[in-house]
Amino acid sequence: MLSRLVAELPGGAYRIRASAEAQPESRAMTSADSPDLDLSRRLNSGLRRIASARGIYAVFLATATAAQELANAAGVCAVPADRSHCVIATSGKGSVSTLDPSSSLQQLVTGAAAAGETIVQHRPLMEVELPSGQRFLAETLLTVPVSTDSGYLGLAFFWRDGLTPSAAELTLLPGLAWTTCLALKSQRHENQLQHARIEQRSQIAEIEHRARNLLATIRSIVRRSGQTAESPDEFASHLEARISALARTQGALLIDQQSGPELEDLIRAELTANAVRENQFIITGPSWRLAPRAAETMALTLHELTMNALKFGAFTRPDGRVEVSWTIESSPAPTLRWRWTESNVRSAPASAHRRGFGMELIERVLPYELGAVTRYSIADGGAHCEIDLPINERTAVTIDRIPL
Amino acid sequence: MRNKPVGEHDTPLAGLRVLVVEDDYFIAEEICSTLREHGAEIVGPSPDVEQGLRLIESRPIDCAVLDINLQGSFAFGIANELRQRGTPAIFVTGYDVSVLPGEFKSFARLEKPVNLRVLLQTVQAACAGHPALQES
Repeated sequence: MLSRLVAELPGGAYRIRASAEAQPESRAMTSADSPDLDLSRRLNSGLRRIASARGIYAVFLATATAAQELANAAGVCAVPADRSHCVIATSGKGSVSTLDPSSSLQQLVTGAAAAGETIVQHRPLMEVELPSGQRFLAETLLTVPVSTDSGYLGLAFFWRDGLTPSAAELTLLPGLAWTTCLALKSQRHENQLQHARIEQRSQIAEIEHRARNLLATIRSIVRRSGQTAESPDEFASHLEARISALARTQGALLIDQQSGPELEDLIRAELTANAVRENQFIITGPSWRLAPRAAETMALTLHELTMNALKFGAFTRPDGRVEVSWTIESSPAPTLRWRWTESNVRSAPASAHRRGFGMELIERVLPYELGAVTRYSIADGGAHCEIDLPINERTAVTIDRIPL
Repeated sequence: MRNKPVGEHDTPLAGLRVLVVEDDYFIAEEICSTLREHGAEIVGPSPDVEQGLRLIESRPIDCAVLDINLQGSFAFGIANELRQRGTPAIFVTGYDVSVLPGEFKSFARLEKPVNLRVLLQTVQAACAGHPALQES
């Protein structure tokens, strides 16, 4: 018996054996017939069973079996902290089922657990009906309140068919309940951890997706800049400015990961980065948050419009002005109507009309990627650009965005 | 700055109708112009699933190049449609292969950013049995 106990408790094995050898007379006390030792053995076997169970239902089943082995209990019942239902696990054949929140068993356990102390109730004459149709009378109930961070308020062991626990068994059962409580807590943490891992994996996949698309965009920008630049110097400066505009957007996207960047912030950041004076532009429009991809394309477009205004348009003259405005319209279809209007530009040089990267963004990229309807014109007053963005999950931030 | 044509012929894909579904304009444009330069006829490109499916319904297609993630929705519906028709498809993706549902594990797959030379070879290999390629 002692050797079995030692084998079951490897952690404490050495101490138990050493004390037994140091005091030979106590060995007689630890014979197989000692009720204390037998009780300890049953308790330890139960604790080990609970501690090694994996999964919340397995923990309940192990608890029911342990309580049966230790004290002939018929099973265990647990009420979750939200009281939404009641879990009942029976030993023997071993089953775990869920009872309605209105069951009298749940009410009794909830009430007893609320008292904050371990309570024994004899003969409550309570009939329990399991979802399987099986009925029985729970004649004795021992309720142990447990720490709610296990997800449960209390555990109750119950007996039937005239079986009752001995006083010694009753004193050991709360220990079983608290071990169950720890096991439930650890299962909960494990579940949370697993959930977090899945979440993290999907976020990494999303970041990877964005990174690869971003690299592809940069590669296209390099190619386009190469095709349209008139000299290596122009190529280098255009490329650098475009990549900077993209980098600013990435920064804004990182900061506003959940909510998406504000349209106004994107515009202000682009103009400020190019040293446009505050009194040369007006921004008017309601708060609007862009989805990541739409933010990138809009920011690149803004960059090209700004560069054109600096080279040929409104920002070449101290009295030149740019008004950036937008409105949100719900009919005929939800649309964001965005306008860039330059004024006080004496004459627009022909070179402003060239088919550059900016024109490609306005005429091709925005319609293709975001379904935008766009117009670009140059009148005497300066450049005028209209972008009508349909409002949908591609263009606007919704609460439940992607991830995979 | 253009990539030079590869392969034995300048138009190794002549006669092939290739559907391109890709939500990024620049990537779509890059893929389409590369395939066109080598003789393929482009169907699309389409930035989304709905238009992609419409193109499959309305136009003959010999091969498809599909981006998996189209602004948050997946191109598996298109891939399934093509699989049932026995039309070869190539996935272009920024994802690990583990996100591919089992039935598509055998599809050719290219990672972004796409190496255009490898893309051409993959399209050619996927359509190896096609009559248009055997005539040339």
